[in-house]
Amino acid sequence: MEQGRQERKAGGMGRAQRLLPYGRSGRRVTNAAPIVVLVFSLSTFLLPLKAYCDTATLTLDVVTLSFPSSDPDAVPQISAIENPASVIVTVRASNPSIVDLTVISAGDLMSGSDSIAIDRVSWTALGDGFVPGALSKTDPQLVGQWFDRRVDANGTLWFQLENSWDYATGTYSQSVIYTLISY
Amino acid sequence: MRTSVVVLTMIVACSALLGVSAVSWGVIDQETVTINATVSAKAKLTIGVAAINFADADPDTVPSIAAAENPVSVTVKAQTAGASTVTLTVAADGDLDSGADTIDITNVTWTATGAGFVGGTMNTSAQSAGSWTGSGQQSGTFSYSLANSWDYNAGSYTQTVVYTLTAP
Repeated sequence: MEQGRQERKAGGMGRAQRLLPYGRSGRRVTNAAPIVVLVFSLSTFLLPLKAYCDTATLTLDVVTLSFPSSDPDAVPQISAIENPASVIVTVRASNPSIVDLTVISAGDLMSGSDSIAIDRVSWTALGDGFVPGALSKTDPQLVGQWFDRRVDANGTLWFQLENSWDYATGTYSQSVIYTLISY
Repeated sequence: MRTSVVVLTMIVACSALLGVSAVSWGVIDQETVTINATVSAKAKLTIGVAAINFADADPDTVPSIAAAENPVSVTVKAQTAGASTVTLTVAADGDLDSGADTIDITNVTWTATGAGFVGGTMNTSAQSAGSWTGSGQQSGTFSYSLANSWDYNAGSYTQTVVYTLTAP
């Protein structure tokens, strides 16, 4: 009762505040903490919610590309046995997004200590947004690009290896990584 | 008043967080593909002529008869293991024959130009005409000569020689 009269003397404080207790320091304890918690709760909830709504899906119908041995004079460009390779890009974004499909190689084609430069492997492309190029072990190479909040792109890629009498005999191999990013 | 300020702060904070997430948030998908390539051993030899001819000549004035087709182009192409030796050899099936008459095949010699190509003397046993290490292609020339002699009987002599390119 005495505390309530002291609040009115301070000049026009609201009813809710008159009912608030005083802390040991004598200062009024507010209910700011629940509001702060609410802010962080909302932020924590909204971020994952936005991530869940935005999706990017890359589908390739090949996991291996194979180039057979060939006479360099008769077959200067060796086509991959698996040609053509089908590529499907699906993106759902809450805002218009830049969508990039890139590829980078983990290194040159290797057979023991022998190597074939990875940029000897190139591809041509068919389908909206898809572009041709050559593999690189140093920089991601663009395979396709789109700008939309909703992307449904179907394309095909044809891979070839430049042939040469300079290649040492062997079985060469390397991994390449395709990355689809929407941002 | 204070309640309004707190609510406004909350709205601004949420908007800021949403705005930041809209700028920096990206979604990613990845796929890995393995590339395989096979290179098997191959050898390809190309000689610019199918026959070489030595014309009749005075042994005193032309002690060594040059083939009419000189120089003869030679191209060697091979795919082999990195440290393997590619070899080119030549062997005659016999002496130059004209009926019962013969001219010893060792009277035919050649000189060579081009990296890895070597000159030599014809023989019924394989003679080296060139060697290289590893894969690649090489071009050179052979120029053939027949040692002339008053001892040769008149006639038209002929023989076959076989060039062999080997890429292990």
